[in-house]
Amino acid sequence: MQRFPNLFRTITLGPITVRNRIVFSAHLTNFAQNGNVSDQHVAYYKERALGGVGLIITEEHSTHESDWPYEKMIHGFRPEVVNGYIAITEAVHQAGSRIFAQINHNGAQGTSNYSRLPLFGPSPKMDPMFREVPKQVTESDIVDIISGYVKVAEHARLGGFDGIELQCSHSSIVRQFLSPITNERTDRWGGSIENRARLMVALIEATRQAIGPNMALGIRICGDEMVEGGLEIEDAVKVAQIANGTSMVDYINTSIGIATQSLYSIEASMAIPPGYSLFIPAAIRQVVDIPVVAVGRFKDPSHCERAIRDGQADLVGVVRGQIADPNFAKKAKEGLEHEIRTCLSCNQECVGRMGVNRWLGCIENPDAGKEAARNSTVNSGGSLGIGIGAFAASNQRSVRVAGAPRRVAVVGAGPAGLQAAISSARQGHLVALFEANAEVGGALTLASKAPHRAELADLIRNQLSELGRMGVSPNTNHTITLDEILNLTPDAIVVATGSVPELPWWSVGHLADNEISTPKVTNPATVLNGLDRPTGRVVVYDDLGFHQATSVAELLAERGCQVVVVTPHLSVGTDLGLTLDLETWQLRNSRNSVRQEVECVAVGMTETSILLQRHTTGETLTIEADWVVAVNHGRSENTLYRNLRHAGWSEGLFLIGDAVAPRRAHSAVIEGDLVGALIP
Amino acid sequence: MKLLSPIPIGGYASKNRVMFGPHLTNLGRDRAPSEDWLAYFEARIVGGAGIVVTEEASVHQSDWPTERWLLAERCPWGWKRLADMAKTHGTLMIASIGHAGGEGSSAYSQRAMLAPSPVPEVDQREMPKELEEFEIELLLESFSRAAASAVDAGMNGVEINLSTRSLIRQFLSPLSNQRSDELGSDRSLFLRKIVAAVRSAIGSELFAVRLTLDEFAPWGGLEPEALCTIAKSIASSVDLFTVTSGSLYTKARQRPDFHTREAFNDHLATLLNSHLERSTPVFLQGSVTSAAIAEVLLTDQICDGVEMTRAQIADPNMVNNLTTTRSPTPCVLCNQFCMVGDSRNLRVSCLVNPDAGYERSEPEKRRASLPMRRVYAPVKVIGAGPAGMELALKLAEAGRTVEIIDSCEAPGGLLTALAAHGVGGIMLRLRDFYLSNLASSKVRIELGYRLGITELEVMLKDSVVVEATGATGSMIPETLRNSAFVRQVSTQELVMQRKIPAERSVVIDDRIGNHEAAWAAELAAQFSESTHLVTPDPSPLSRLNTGDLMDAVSRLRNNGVITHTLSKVRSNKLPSAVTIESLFSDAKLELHDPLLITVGIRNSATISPDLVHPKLFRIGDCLAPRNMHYAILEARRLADRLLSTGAD
Repeated sequence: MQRFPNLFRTITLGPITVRNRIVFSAHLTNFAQNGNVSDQHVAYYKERALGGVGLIITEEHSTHESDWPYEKMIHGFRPEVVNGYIAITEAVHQAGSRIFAQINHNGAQGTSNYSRLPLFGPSPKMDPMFREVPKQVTESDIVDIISGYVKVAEHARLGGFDGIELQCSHSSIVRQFLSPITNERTDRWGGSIENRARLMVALIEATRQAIGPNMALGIRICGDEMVEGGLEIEDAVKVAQIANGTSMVDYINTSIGIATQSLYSIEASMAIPPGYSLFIPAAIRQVVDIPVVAVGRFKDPSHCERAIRDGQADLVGVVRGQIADPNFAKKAKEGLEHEIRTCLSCNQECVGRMGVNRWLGCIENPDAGKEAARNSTVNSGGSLGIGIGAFAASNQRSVRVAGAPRRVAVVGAGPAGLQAAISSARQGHLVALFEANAEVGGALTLASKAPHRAELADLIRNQLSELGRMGVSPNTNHTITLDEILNLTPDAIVVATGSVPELPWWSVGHLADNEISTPKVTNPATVLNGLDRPTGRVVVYDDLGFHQATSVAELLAERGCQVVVVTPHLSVGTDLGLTLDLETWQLRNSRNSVRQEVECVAVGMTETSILLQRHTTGETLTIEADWVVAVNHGRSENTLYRNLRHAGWSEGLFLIGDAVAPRRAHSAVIEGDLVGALIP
Repeated sequence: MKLLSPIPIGGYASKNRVMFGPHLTNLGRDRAPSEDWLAYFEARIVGGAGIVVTEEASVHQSDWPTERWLLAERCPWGWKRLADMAKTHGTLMIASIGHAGGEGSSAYSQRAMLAPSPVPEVDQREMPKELEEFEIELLLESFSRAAASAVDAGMNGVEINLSTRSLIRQFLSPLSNQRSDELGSDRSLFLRKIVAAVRSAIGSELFAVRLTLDEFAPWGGLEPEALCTIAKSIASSVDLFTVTSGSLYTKARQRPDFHTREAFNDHLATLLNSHLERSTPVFLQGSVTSAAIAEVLLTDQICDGVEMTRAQIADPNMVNNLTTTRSPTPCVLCNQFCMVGDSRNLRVSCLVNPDAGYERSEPEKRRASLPMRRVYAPVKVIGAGPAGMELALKLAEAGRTVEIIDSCEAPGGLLTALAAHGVGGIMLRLRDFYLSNLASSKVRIELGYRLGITELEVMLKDSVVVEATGATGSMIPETLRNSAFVRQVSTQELVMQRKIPAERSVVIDDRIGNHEAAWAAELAAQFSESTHLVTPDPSPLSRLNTGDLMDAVSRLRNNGVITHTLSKVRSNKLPSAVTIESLFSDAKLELHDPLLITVGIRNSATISPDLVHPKLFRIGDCLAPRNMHYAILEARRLADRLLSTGAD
């Protein structure tokens, strides 16, 4: 019996029938090369189509040479793109899915750095993120813009796309015209909502004419810009009505926020509850008679099902959910939703890499971004013998057919060891997995205990679940010795023993179990596992700039401590911006009054305080504290590896994860994933 | 000129004392040279450089610091092309090869960085892997192989990097080498192995070493004496030393902007020479942009040659132009377009030379040897800023009749305006360059004349008119629209005042976060009792990517500027008051009657906003307020167009 009947009911978008309500909606990938789509695009979309998605909407294609906001943009206006389009659409069609091309002009939300042309905008107003003043477009420029869209629509038609989506949302000149904060024109393109929507209507008409009646045409609009004075739901409803009124639009896709001002609301992290933006499609659905798409932290098929069943949307966009698991749709359809590798909404390797011009990845799906397995973007290493941590012997991922299954001993069941067990078991090898602690998951399980970080634990849960299906379960509470391992007569040994906290030099002499001396010094792991319970005045001294310090600070502040986060960096939580957690952390923690002290290097401690020096001025400061939580890099724990080397092991010995160097979770998963194909 | 005199180096001779040094260009593709990359270096070879050291190439795939960083095994074809071409110019070609070790990145390789010890990389705070012995052996082999491949391709030699982003330097320094094996107890051992391997691989070809002589870390790093001793210990195998400074925590010191004086490494070169006793030629790197200063360095025997990289980015023909009447386009040490190490992968370019990095892709019609038309309309340029002066110069040098009109009493536009009050004095170099060359081309500049729209329309009857009128800063930000009583100036208006009156308080509304906010704050602190810098960003000056960031923040602090991060400026109900509000907490600060300075909000100053005419053009800030790079680029493009069509 179908568990999600609404989700898997077909639907028509104009002339196009879509097999289910799941959409892989438009998102940047940075897979483009030299302005063109690539083999990686083909493989990436094909995988989701094979995975059962109903509708794919590609990342935006630029419609004009003045629009080049990021390096790896698809220049849809160049005729060379058509062959690439054909490759993508053929692959996706063969797998039974439909695919639309999103086309766009980013307007003032861009830069001249790549195009070397002035930006276009409705008014000469600087975008708050890009910070470049655009040229106010003339009537003649607007004609150019529209003909650019027509050209790209034509290329898309030739390229075999089933439809076009016009982006009038996150980062778009169309939204800039729609929005009162960016459009101050006094001519027919500015002023009333009808005037401000004139460009959108002109583009709808021109695009419809270019594609004819056999392709679908949709628009994506912004339901709430999330900035003061910007578009709100009432405006979005009017815009939807105007678009619907043209009778040329087959569906409306929705969004929230502005990419260059409120990105945290567009690609919401785990700190923002799922369903946060459902009010938008729900409102729009009331006033239009065409299908409406909902987006926003949908990672669970039952959540998608409910949104449709309850009439809040007709289709649901699942982006990160299908980056993490391309087979999301298929598993849901076959009643195997518990096998879905759920997205963590951590934003580390997808959004986090987009923000810095890198190809998209996924913390728990090491294939994401490498579906085409092209060596130009992935290091194939040189043949370097043992040890994966540095550079692997080979990056070939073909399933090894030859020979009997090998015996693989994996030491450490954090994300690295778990992934190594998975990749080895997938190859058919016999896996024995050992974990010294009572709980698996290593550093990640601990991290998930912090406020708003619980979904990190899903990574471990997903890994355990996959291992369970392959008949492998970890031996916990088992600190395995060298002799024990050797007695197992393994063919391969994977050392994934992680890292241990390291006391910073300035804190020596103030150990936590020394009850006489204060301030007591501890670290995030020990706080999160409950062994230390700081109270009173707490200084969180942060060398790392990532979630460890900010989440421990938040935890302790919520428990009633008076917390100061001190860092040598220029701001607290400097890398939180990568995962779009900075604004929300600041918002929550201004309420619990976590103090912040920047540009300060710790230089020592006294019996009552921590001593700091502001490196920009040389001034010294003292902060009185009862506890200090030192957040710094730990030390790799790889004793077992070194002992095995001394015992003569080389081929078949692997070192992965934090045991190589303490880093972030994706390194553990990537390295664990490489093991399977390299078992000799 | 000593600068143009030859010098023996190893078994070769350099035709002059000028080096074009190694720097990231992002012109490569797939970690290999490209035609654009070749064109970039070829321009400097043709332009007269004595020694060209090409962009550093990683000796092993484990090293991938930025996406477009070259990989040595993919370079030989490019090295060969350059080496072959350089022969006809007598230029010495040296291939820089290296490994950034723990100062690289794992983002592209998705493998751990490799380093002597687990010391985190400074910018991304990522921890490298501690190198194992077999990995070190392999890296030594890689150095050897890369060096051999470079000389096999025809390069005259190789350079190894012991300065910033260097695995070898990481071994040398106690800051980054805490190993317990012999490579730790003898921190120079790795260097000696490298030197032996490379020397063996290249035979008698040139072996150059780029060496930092100051880690600026007296508490735990190597000091100049120790580094000179190390240099001396390998000198018998080395044909050329290039002196730099900066290290793990002070990368920005290697190529600082104009806040650091020119030739700042001179004392280090002197120290090295005293150790080496002149056994080996020593070149000096470090903000050497003027031939006059270079000449003094050589005459005083501080060094044997100079690296003038940025000067040759600004003008590829710098060396040749030293002996012509047209002086070289001056580098202004701004670092705005040539420092391209961030993840945006921008091509190397230059504020004052927008053709840099685009030698191949910008139209060749802009070269000087354009055919002249017999009949053509005169060109009137409105605005004597960089856009107008660049255009007029290009036209005049090609024989076109051109005249400049400016409403100010002095020419130069923002170049002159920003030179006041100690803000941008170095920009006067560029202004003087334009004025002197315009004078040589006999271009008339009429000053103090404000043109009206009617007159402009009359002009269009028989002239081409180009508006290069720039931008003003008179736009009031929306948060202050309702507050007509707030006294508000743009940074541009501020600095153009002859005398800036004292203030009790100043609020700087900084929506940009770059050097403009930095100098505005420093300037304001001089005439105001209290200066507040307000930014919506988590830290002040977060878009200052010229290498000056830490120093600029220090200057703010030391000048007593109060920074308000994650904040905004708002007018409140009381007239002439502003409130500084935190974006997230309830923190508010109300200030009565401050002077409000707005950063970066500028409006086109076009005098003909609604006029469209086939003989009317707009370039630079009056088209869209941006920066000088685009002003000059658009001037060059328009000159090209006017010269090739006759524009009738």
